[in-house]
Formats: sequence, C-alpha cells, structure tokens
Amino acid sequence: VADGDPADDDPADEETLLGFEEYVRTRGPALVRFARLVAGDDQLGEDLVQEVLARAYPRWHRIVRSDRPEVYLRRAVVNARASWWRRLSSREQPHATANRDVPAGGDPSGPAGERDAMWREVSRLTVRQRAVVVLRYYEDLDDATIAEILGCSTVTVRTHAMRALAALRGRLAPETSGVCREH
Amino acid sequence: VSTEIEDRVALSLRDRADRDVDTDTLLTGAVRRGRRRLVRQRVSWLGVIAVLVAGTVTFGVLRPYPVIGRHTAASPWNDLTPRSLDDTLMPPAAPAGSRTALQDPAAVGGDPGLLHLSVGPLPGHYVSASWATGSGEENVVLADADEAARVRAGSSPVDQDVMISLTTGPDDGTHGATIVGAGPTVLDGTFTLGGATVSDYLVPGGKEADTRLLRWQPAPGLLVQVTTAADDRKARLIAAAVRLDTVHRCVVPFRLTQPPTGTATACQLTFSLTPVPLATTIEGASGSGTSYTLIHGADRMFVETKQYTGTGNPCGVTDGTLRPPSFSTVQLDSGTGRAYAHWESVPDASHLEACQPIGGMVVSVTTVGASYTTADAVRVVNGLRPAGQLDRPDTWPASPLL
Repeated sequence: VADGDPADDDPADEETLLGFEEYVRTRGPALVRFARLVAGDDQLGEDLVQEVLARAYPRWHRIVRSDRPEVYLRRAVVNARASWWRRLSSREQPHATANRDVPAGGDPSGPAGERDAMWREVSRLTVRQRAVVVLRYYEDLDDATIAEILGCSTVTVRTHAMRALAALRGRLAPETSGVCREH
Repeated sequence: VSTEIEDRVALSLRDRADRDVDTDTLLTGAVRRGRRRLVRQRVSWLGVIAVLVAGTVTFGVLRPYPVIGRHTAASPWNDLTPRSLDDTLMPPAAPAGSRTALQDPAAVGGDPGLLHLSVGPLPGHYVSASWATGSGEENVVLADADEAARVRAGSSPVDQDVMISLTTGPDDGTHGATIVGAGPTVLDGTFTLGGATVSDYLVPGGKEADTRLLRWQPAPGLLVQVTTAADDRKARLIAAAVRLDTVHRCVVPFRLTQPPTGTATACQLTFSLTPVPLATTIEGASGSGTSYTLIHGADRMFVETKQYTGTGNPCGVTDGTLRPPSFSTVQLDSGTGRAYAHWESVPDASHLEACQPIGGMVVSVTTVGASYTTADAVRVVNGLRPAGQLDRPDTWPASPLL
C-alpha cells in the first residue's frame, strides 16, 4: 500500500468524509474480524485496521472510485501484518505461539475444544497461509479475488491453501495422515 | 465440495472472529490518525519538492537508485517456444568445478551459498525469478508478467507461474506438501524424461484453473517437482527444461561486519525485470531482494534487503503517533540524520525495520526466539555494509559473513 503518496488529495470535503464514516460504520466490523484472524491476535488485528483506515483516509475518494475498497483494505491489512520483507523468508516463517486469549478450560474433546485446537493450529500457519485460509474459509472468496487481494497468482493461492490444509491435517491427526513435510 | 477439514476450519474461524467490534472507537481513531497523516503528508511533500528543486539545480537531474533487471517487451503467453530466461533473472555462476546435484545429491540445500537447480530454455515469459536454498531443499519460483501486461498483450488471463523444487531423499510420497491434502489429485499420466519416469498429476481447480504437478526422481536421492497452472503440454516442456548439471551462487549485496552468533543456513535471491516502487510492493509483486538466514539453536535471524526504487517512504510505520503498541523506536548508528528503525515485538517473531536506505537498499532483520535480542538486531543492521555493485550480482559475495 502506498504510503506518503504525494498525489494524495484532500479528502476533507463533506461528501467524502461522510462516505468514509459510513463505510467504517457498516464495513469496519467485518474488516476488524478479518484482521483479527489474519493477525492471530485480537488487539493486533484492531490496531492494524485502525492503521490501515488512517492511511486510507487521505485518499479515500480515490479508493472509493476504484469500486474495490474491500479488496484494497484487505490487501492493506495483510500487507501491514506481513510486510514485504517477510515474503523472502516465508519458507521459514516462525510458528505463532499459542494465542494469548484463547479461552482456557472446558472439555478439549468437545466441539468448543476442537474449535480452539483448530484455531491454535491455524494461528501457527505462516501469515500468508493464514491469510489465504481466512479469505477462503471465513470470507468465502474465490481464488481469483484472493489472488487479487494478496497480489499473487491463483497458483500461489492454491499452493498456500493446499499446504495450509496439509499442515493442519497433519498436526491435528498425525497418526492418520502420515508424514507431511511443510516447505 | 468442501472437505471435513475445511468445514472444521470454517467453523473455527467463525467462532474465533465473530466477537463484538467497537465501531465508534474504530472510526474515531481512524479519522484522528488519518487527519494527522494528511497534515504530515502536506508538510513532508513540501520538503520533497524543495529537495527536488535543489537537486535539479545542483546536479541537473536526480538519478534513481540502480535497478536490477530491465523492462522487456511482453511475448505471447501461449507460445510454447522455449526461451532462455532473461540473463538478469539468473544468479551468477559458481566457480568451475563445483559439484552438481547429479554428482552430489547430498549437497542440495546444504550450502546457503550454492544453488544446484537451474532451468534451460522453457516456454513462458517470466518477469521475476526467486531462487532459494536451505534446509535440504532448493527451489525457484518463476513469475510471469502481471495481469495488466497480459491484457496489453491481448493474451490469456490464466496465470502461468511456475514453481520448481529440488529436494533430497527417497521418493516416499511425502515430498511436496502441495500434493498432500490437495484432495482429488489424480495421476494423469507418466512420461520419461532423461531416463526417469515423471508422474504427471492434475489438481482440479474447481472454478479456477487446474494445477499441474509433475514429479520425478532424476537420480537416486534427488527429487524434482514442478507446479504450474500451465496445460499438460507446456508443463512437460517446463519439466524438460529443469537443469541439474549446473551450479550457481546464492549471493547477497552486503557484508555483516558485526555478525550475530549462529550459522548461516539459508539464502534467497529474487530478481525482477520490473522494478516496483517499494511503497507499492506487495506480496507476490515483483521486486528484487535478498534474504539470508542464520540459525542459533532453535532460534533464527533473517537479514533481508530490498532494493529501494521509489521516492516514497519505504517503511510501513514511521511515526510515533501511528505506531501500534507493539512498536518501539530504535536508534541506529548513522551520520546521515535519517537513521531510524522500528522494533516490532509480536507473538510469532520480533522484527527490526531499518528504514534508512543503505546503498540503495532497505534492510530488515527478523528474529525468532529469545536468544536473539533487539540489541543483536540493531548491531547487525549497524554493521551491514553494501558489498559489490547493486546492479551486478556477480560482484556480490556468496556469504555476508566475513
């Protein structure tokens, strides 16, 4: 996402400002939920969204004109979480530690426990894999749109998705899924 | 048709995300920060204009930082005519006499300074190539031209990125996680290549293009895999272009005069024909850069550089008023007056973003694990020195460690 673009114009005309506010009120919660999942951390996700919206504010009228603010902002969230340099080491992305606000207690073998276990494994995926998983299975987007958001090819999207599912399957049921090495 | 694991993932994500959001706080904070940003941009842009005016007066014209690669004309996408990769996408050759993968399979992925995987003439028009080695694996990802270029060329919008992997070990079916868990992957045929039997798999893409995955064992202990959305004919030509009889160097345009504790384990080198202004660089976009990995016990440090080709600020976060709580400012040693960095401490890694362009690059250090500290990261950045000419990788060292 461009930062400090000198071509940014003043968005402060009343109509644009109202449009920004309306967008944040109506679509902001969905963006925050998306960011929470991509960030793997509620607080960090909310911080990212506020940062991304602040960057979008000066150029909002242009973003709206593009007719794809949803794509633009989701791309910005992913970029903010996994900045460009991390691409270079994506093969060795560290695994996230267990999320600090995963609810404790309860029956780990019950439905809630299983969902928590799944989330912990999702949060251990690389940022890119997690982003693809969230966009696919939470946002329910097709691969072409995901590729557009992530700025990559659909092959890359599918590769991330396949690797993510393979990793999840292997970690959650290692005794039945065989050995699966994640590159 | 979704699988059981996909359903479980979806349930888990919905359960995780669907919590209340304080929209008022979000809106108030975004507008407040946005207004500050707007004011600051106006001020800083006035400064840029002043610098440009001064530069024009003093030097006549400001030269951009050197850029690896060059623009080339687009070629038809569906043309099966094999072509050599542009020279600027190739890593520099290793010294004569270096042992190839065929001669020494165990060497694959074992030396971060050497690449044993290469490609000869192959169909497609590739604008970036990312070469990587480490942890017993090597791979190259060839990215085709962007969508806009395809549209201009009037050709198919089907992407044709190619990923070629080379690993060591027996073909026990575990190689290439891309096929494990892929669902209805089907063996679509086999053919012979250089005496080896190539398994040609098809991974149906549903609404998207299918992915083709070719896998073979060119020599005992070596495994090669090609993944692409190209059709069967083109995929087989790509497989035939894989070269294992040459050795190249994985190089980096810097030296570390204050290296951290640890052993070098991995290197990645990305060349691009299309310089992308850094401020708009995103994942998957073509941009030239390098990554060097050091490991200390179970902990890792990534030292990465990216070419700085834009005039905008290369850093995502540059101002204290905009930093999320996980960021803190770190002072770097520099006499330029522009030295600043941000230390981001997040659950899965800590990251030092050195925003100061160093010799046409911006530098970042990511650490994973407690044995690397903020001080280590700062020391590494402070001790980083450009090595060789930025637009001539053949002049770069194969190791940044002195």
